[in-house]
Amino acid sequence: MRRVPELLVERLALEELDEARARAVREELSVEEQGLERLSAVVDANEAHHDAPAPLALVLAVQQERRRKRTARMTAVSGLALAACALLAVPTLLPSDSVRTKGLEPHLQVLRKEASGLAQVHDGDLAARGDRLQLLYVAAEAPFGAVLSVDGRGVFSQHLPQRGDRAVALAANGAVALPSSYLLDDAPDFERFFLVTGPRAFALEEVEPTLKAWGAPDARVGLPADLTLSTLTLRKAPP
Amino acid sequence: MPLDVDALYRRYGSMVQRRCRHLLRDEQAAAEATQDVFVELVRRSDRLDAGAPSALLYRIATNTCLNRLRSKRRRPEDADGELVERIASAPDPSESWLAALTLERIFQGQQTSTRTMAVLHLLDGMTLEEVADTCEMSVSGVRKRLRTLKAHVAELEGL
Repeated sequence: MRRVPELLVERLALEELDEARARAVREELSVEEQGLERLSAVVDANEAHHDAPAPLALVLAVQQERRRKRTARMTAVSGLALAACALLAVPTLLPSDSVRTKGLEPHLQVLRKEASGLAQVHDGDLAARGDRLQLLYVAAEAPFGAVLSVDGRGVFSQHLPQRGDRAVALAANGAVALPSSYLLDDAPDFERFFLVTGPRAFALEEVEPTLKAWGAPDARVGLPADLTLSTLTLRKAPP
Repeated sequence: MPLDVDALYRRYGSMVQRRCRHLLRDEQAAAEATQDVFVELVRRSDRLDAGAPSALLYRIATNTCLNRLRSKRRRPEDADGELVERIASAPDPSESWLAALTLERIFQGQQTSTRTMAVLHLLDGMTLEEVADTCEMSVSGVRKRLRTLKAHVAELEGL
């Protein structure tokens, strides 16, 4: 007697098998040791998962893929049009996530999940408790970096790396989403995000004191000379 | 019309996560692979039919995990020591993790779809008919594809 393959259990749980097939799989499971319990566990897990929205990192990756596909289509259309007109080769520069802008500085981008999708928020924008944010960094050729934040209570959070005590190697191209999103709590006044970049995997303790004292007139003061700081501050709406 | 990824994730995300977790035996890698699966679904959206996508997602998940196992194996930092450590920390290393590694060794150089079919047949225990149904192929097509692996398997077994 075989163990019923997982996919059949999954499809039975999803009610995607025709009646005869579903009956046969259920019969197989009924004689398999713990077979019906296995089915029940899958059904329960599916139900529990059903209320979970897609992670922001996934939504973002899907949006990037859709942009990439649109860009590819536009490039193909441009190429055909150029060929049809027998024009001399002219480079077609279309926006692409993989194209690095010359002279771009390392910076953070913040997206907020809204009912209509993801919307970019900018430095100085208003945010509120419960806002789900996705942080992205643009390395702009900086090899190493860290993303940190401090809120109106002075609580310091480490976003990249999520664990560890040193800056990590940054992806070179485009806006890169951090692995997990960030839910704003009820800390008052502001939430300030920092992207610190540099030519080396610096220790986070080198920058933390300065960032914690961000309210100083020049938050740059105190950072090692080879590091660059970019910040983005969201104002918190009063409760 | 664009795919409603949020709705698909709510319905099938749990299944995809389970599949990735089962093959990769690593929670973080499985989460990343799950994301890759849905992005791949968007990539293929022009070619999707209106049927239930569970079998397609399952195939994409299998293929995505196999690719991850392959690429990890090629990285120099994935030394035997790290593999041993990961196997040792897996809940049941004698079952599918080791099996997946063995299969991975067997499937080097084979077509991706053949590797996926072989996992469905050899690791998951599907009959040829079930593999054919899942992969939307004829049974004879599946049998022929899997036959191409036999020489390779025999060669490895002789090592």
